[in-house]
Amino acid sequence: MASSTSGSSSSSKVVKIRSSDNENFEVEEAAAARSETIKKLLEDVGDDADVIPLPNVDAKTLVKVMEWCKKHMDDVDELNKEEMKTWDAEFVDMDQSCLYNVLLAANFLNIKELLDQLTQKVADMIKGKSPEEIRATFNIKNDFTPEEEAEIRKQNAWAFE
Amino acid sequence: MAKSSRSNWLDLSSSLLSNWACLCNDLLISIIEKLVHRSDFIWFSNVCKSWNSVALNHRKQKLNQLSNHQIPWQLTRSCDETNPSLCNYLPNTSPTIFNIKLRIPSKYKTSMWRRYGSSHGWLVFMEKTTWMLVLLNPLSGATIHLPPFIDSPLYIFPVFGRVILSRDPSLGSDFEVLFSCAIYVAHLKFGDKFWTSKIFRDSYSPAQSLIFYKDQIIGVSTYSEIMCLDVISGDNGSGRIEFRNITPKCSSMYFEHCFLSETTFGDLLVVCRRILYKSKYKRYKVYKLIESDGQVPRLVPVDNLDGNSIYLDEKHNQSISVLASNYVGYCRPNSIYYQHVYFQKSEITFKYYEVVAVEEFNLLEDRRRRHLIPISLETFWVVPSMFSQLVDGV
Repeated sequence: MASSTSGSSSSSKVVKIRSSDNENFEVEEAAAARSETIKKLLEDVGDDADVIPLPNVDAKTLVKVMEWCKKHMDDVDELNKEEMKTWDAEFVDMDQSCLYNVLLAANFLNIKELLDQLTQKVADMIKGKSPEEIRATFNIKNDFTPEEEAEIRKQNAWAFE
Repeated sequence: MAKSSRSNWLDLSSSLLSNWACLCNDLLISIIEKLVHRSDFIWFSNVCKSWNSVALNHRKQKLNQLSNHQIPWQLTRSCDETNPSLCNYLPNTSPTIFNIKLRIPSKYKTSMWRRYGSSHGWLVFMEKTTWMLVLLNPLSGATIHLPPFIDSPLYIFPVFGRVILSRDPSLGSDFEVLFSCAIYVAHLKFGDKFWTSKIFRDSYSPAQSLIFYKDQIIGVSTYSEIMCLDVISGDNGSGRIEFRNITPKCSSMYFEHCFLSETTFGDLLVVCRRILYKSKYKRYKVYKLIESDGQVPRLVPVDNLDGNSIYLDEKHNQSISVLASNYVGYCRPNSIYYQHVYFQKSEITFKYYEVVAVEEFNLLEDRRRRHLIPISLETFWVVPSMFSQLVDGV
């Protein structure tokens, strides 16, 4: 298989995972184990595992998350750090609905480093924007009454100048 | 109050529509933690009710984290009853005077006597009639009176004292106050009736500069020795203060000014500045305290500030550090901005007069630039702080 080109010397064992919309994927164990949730499930079921169901992640999102896991499967040496940084920056550069799904998936799958990168991306998207612009970016409805909004603005008047 | 924490990922498979308003609290908190500007945090909390609720619950922690890591303001000096203004006169930027109304009670406008600078956005001064230290939040007008120093005879009462706070009093009453000068150091846990103090009768205080750092009080001497200030509590003012050295004295490391600064990464830096400057020496040297690798804590010279910019002032108040990449156009990475009084010679009268200057020293370029400020300013920096709910406390 093509996976033999991977740098990991351990036998590139493959695990099967199933998305919420019942698509099956084969992923190298080292990649899948970037997810603490999958790692824990694998430890619990041992070698008897057939397919690990992931009822909260759809196929499209799972493909995206596993793309990240595969890239981050091996330790990165100093030389490749810059390249990896660029790759990560391109990876998180997705539209807000995709970002939302990958964020929730990373949370469910418990992939700390990916979560960190995604929440950083969200924070970067918030930076320097007014509440109106943030709502427009993330498609959020303003559920404050005009009175409540005026009160909040009054309290923090200097931030709006 | 947050109604309940919602674990929203359960809905994911049924709906591909994003619902950012209902993101679970942990993720919202993780996003909040990555916001670097106070205004971004405030704007975040104004987006919708659920974000507002999470932001309110996390407000204290977030604002404590930000407090000394924002581009500070400066304060114009007022000689009469007019209000001073907040402003920014920084090198490399165009000067701005902010149109923010300061709420300084009128009785303090003329009697802000013996100003001890500013800490966490609060102004600190001594009230003329009562000899009490007063903390004043210029944005909210809130004041806090601190108990008098009963053991400090008036004749030694220092003009050049400095006051630092462990955190912003707007965020709760669990803060500490430290007063220090050459011959007197006093510590107060807010709420206590008495200061714990130490008078130096035959010598000077070993600590030239002090900082609240990771739940400790750390000091530095002019020989760049790092010490810990321990406050041993006792009833009714019977507590005492002891200094305990962490790193040894090094006679080759004598500097007229030593400052302590916590970087945005949580490292403790010693910034040393020479006044008596000879060209064979560098004007500034910076050391980092290394104490986590199992060895004896020690100072290691560094040639950059990890991308931080550091704001210091002559009075050795709390130092402020920001990650320069978050404030492009306002400050430069690895620059120290030192605000001080500078004596300039008049070309007409040939007399010297006082101006406030900001000296920028860039560690990578090893170069110093002096930026004279054309208006009358206080020499201390003021960090932006939120409005206070705390009214006169004691």
